[in-house]
Order: sequence, then C-alpha cells, then structure tokens
Amino acid sequence: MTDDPDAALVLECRAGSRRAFERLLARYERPIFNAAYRILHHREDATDVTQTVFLRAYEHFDRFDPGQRFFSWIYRIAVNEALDLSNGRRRSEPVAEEIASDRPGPERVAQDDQLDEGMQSALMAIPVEYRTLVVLKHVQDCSYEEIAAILDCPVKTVKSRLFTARQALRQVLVDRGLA
Amino acid sequence: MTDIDPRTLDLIHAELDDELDAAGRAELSTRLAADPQARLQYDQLTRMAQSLARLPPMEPPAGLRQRWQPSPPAPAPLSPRVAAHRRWLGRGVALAAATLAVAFGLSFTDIGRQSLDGQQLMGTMGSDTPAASDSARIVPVEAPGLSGTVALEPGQSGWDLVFKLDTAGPVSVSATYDPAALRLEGYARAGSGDRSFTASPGRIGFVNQGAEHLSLHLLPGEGGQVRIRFEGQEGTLQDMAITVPAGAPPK
Repeated sequence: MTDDPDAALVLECRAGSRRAFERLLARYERPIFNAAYRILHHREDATDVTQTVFLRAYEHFDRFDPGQRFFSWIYRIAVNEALDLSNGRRRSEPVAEEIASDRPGPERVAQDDQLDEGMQSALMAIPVEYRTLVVLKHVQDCSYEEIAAILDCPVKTVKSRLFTARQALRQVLVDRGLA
Repeated sequence: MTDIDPRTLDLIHAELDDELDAAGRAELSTRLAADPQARLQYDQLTRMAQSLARLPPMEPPAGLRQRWQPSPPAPAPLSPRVAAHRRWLGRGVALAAATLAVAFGLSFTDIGRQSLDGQQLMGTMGSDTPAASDSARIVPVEAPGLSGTVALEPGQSGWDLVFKLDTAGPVSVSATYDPAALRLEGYARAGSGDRSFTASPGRIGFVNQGAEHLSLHLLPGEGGQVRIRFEGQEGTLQDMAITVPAGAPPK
C-alpha cells in the first residue's frame, strides 16, 4: 500500500461506499475534465470522457492495484479515453464539421482570451500523442514520473517525447506568429 | 531551420522542467550568450510554457456529478444542434432497418405502455450468438413522435448497442441490465446539443431530441438482457428487450 491519500477512499468504494466514490468524483472531476478538454478541445467530448472515466473506474475498482497511485490510474483511463475518442472512435460515424467544431459561445468568450485561443489552436495542430504530453506536463503540472505512470512508459521515453512535442508546438507558434 | 547544438537544446528543455543544477544553468547561460538562435528559441519555449500554465481552467458542466444518481433523466428542452446532421437518419433508414430486421428473421416485442415487468419482457433480438455473416442486428423503433433503430453490432472490444433515433420532442431513453452479466465500457454520441447522459452500474439513461446517434460499448461477458424504455412527455412510448450474446462477437 502506498501513502496515497486516495487509497483509503478506493478501499471504501470497493466495499460499496457511494459516499467515498462521490468524494473521489469531487476531487478528480475537474482535473479530468480539464485534461480531456485541452486534449480534445471539445466541451461535450470532454464531458463524455469524464463520465466514461468515472463509470469505468466505478466498475473496475477491483482492478486497481493499491500499490500504485489512484491519480495515475484514473488519469490513465482518462488519457486512453481521450485518445480513443480523438483517434477514431467515431471513425465509422463521420461527424459534420459544424458539429465537431467547438464554437465559442458566451461561456467561452468569457473564459478564453485571445492568447488561450491561439495556444489551444496551436495545441490542436500537433499530433494528439504530443498534445497529451504537453497538457499533462504544462497544463496539469504532472512530473515526469507521474506522466510515465499514466502513460505506462519509462521516464526516459517521456523526456524524449516531450522534447519532440515541445519543439513541434513551438514551431507551430512560430509559423503562426504567436511565438 | 535552426542549427542549434543538441547539447544546448537538451539544456534548454531541462531548464524548462527545472531540472538543471547550478553548473547546468551556468553552462546554459554561457551557451545562450554565444548563440543568438539558441537564445531566441529559449525565450520562445519559456514563453510557451508560461502561456500553457496560464490557460484558464474550464468548469465541468453543472450537475455532471449529479448525473450519477440512479434516477433517470427528466426530459428537458434541448438546444437543437446543427440541422444538417439530421441527414444521416431519416425515414429511409428506418425503412431499411425494418427490411433488414425482416431479412434477418429477428423478433422483438413492442410492449407498448405496459410497465417494465421483467417477466413480460420476452422480446429479444436473437438469443443465439450471431454468425459473422449476420452479426449486425437491427430493430426498428416506431411510436408517435419517435422513429429509428436500435442495433446490436460487433464493436472494437465487445458489442455495441447503437441507438439511431429521430424524435419530434425530447424522449427519455433508459436501458437497464444486470451489471454482473454485462458491463458498459463507454459510449460515443453525436447529433444533439444536449449531453444529458446518466450511468450507474446496471442502468443508463439519456434524453434524445431530434436526430441522434448513441453507441454503448459493452464488454464481452456472460451476456444478458438489456431492457429499454422510451418515454415521452405523455408517458411510455415503447418498451423492448434485447439479448446480448455471451462472449465477444465473431471476428
């Protein structure tokens, strides 16, 4: 067992405690939604991912290894869901462009400034695997070790891919005059 | 294209991650002073990291957590999404689905307005495991203000239960099943501006308005029955039960 503060809640969830599950939801709902949003840039898809993540977690608490951190476990589910969605879960169901796009509404106008839009747009221009790394590192402020645990790969690989991802994003910003 | 020394680039990225010790910083400083291109790139990457860290947090939709309550979603006025999306499902699809259902010799029971008594839910889409040639099964949905299909299709990791519905107004759809026998892996949805969707083990609910497409991804398992109810503002429009075969669909 680790000193993970969530571990006790997970054990309570396994024992059927809905209150414990709701506490985990309250703790992770926002960061999971934000990570999904920054990866997908689509509010409804981020909502879908968030709901699916907690549904899967609820159904698979028995598969959680108390030796690992809950944070990494649930983020891994989230990243996989977001990547699945981005990479073609809707392959067989082409979505009209106007539907796929996330048009700025009043809420977005209020929340997103021009810089945000430019950066998010640049993020969407790099491959989703790179985008995921950049989001985890620079938006979610995860450490190399946490990212390695989430993506289930060595720290060395994280560093190498993050290097490439940042260079790719910087180039997009330069090309768009936003660097 | 830049021609920056790889060692300098490594140091720049290490600095971005606050991984350099005093000696490393001194080396980087020397290298940046000697290479204006490296200095420019260092500044660009630093500004980029700062901008990323300043991206505003997004608020999840209000009530997202409450959607986990086991009660079904109440029909609510929904903002229509793009009208063009309605193209993908129309009367023609419903007719084709009905034809396919007949061709496959499928049976299903329209239980109408009766209550969801498990003993009465006898209709199935086929209790046998489908062969590869007819693994897609489609059942039409027809009621006043409601048309479309519910299909059981081989999915990426198990079975997909696919709702393609066209409704004149908000229709609440609920699906109940034995969570010990069937497990929901996830879902994908397209079509409506509304994202109401509730899920708890053994129960899924969503509101359909207009032309929508919802796919429930079921993991292979023991198999079992999914009971589906369509409810409009006047009450139950249609009930049906669908049997998901045990195990994974044939490849």
